[in-house]
Amino acid sequence: MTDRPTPAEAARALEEAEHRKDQVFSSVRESRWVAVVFGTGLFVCLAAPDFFGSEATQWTSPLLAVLSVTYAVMLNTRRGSALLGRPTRLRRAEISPRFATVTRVVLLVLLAAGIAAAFLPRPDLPLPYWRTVAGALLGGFLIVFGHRAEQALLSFARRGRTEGNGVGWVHGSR
Amino acid sequence: MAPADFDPVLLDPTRLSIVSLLSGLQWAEFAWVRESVGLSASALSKQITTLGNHGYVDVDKGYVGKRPRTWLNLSEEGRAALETHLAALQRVVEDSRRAAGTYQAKDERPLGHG
Repeated sequence: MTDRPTPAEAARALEEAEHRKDQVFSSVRESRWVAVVFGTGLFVCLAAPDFFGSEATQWTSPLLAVLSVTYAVMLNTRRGSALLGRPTRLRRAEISPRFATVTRVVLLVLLAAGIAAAFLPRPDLPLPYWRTVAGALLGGFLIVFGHRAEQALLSFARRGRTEGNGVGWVHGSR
Repeated sequence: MAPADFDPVLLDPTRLSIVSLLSGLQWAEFAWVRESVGLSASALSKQITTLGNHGYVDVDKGYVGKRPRTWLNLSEEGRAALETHLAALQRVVEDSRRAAGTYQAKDERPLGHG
């Protein structure tokens, strides 16, 4: 390319830059063992009260909290991410503000529902070992479909080119 | 348009690819960038040195366990340079499209009016 690119060269360069930016979303991946550890942890925590009685919740809840906080801390550091097998960290500006708002609302609703459920009387379900079944389903889903679910969420989270995030651009070739 | 609108460092397609790739990330491992842009380690290293000398890319080296790792991230200066460069490229494309539109409109004018 010379000091002043031709329109064709400029269009090609813009196309390439756009392609590279899109490539970033597919880079969000991590090692398989992370999903296996989390899926197994979830299963153990949910199934424990079925086998060890209701007092098992005294250690399952803190265990889940520790796992979640450790994961969040690792994600936010370069070395932690490397250990998780994540070679990159997406910029927050790349996430659509609408998606971020919806996610926060959903998380708050889930949190409120969890707190409310803790205070409400729970009727005994006629299904024995229902916690084990729920744990196996959730843990299994995380292990088998975790990566695909994350990629699907990221496709919703992707900021549109017209939303303006500093280095967003539209050259009208698409 | 003044040639100064284009960043001479980013006129190189490989460097533009690297910077565009890094623009969406807080950081990226050197190995991932190498794989993504399809360069050899030494070729990428040369380009990163050039970008680093201009203050566009920050390099952080460290260890994970016993394995050495290198992380790259786009500096604010690099982000601003990319933004300006892409805007300049965008203008070239738009000017060309506008010129083509004017030319086409002239062509479509009825002959009797000339």
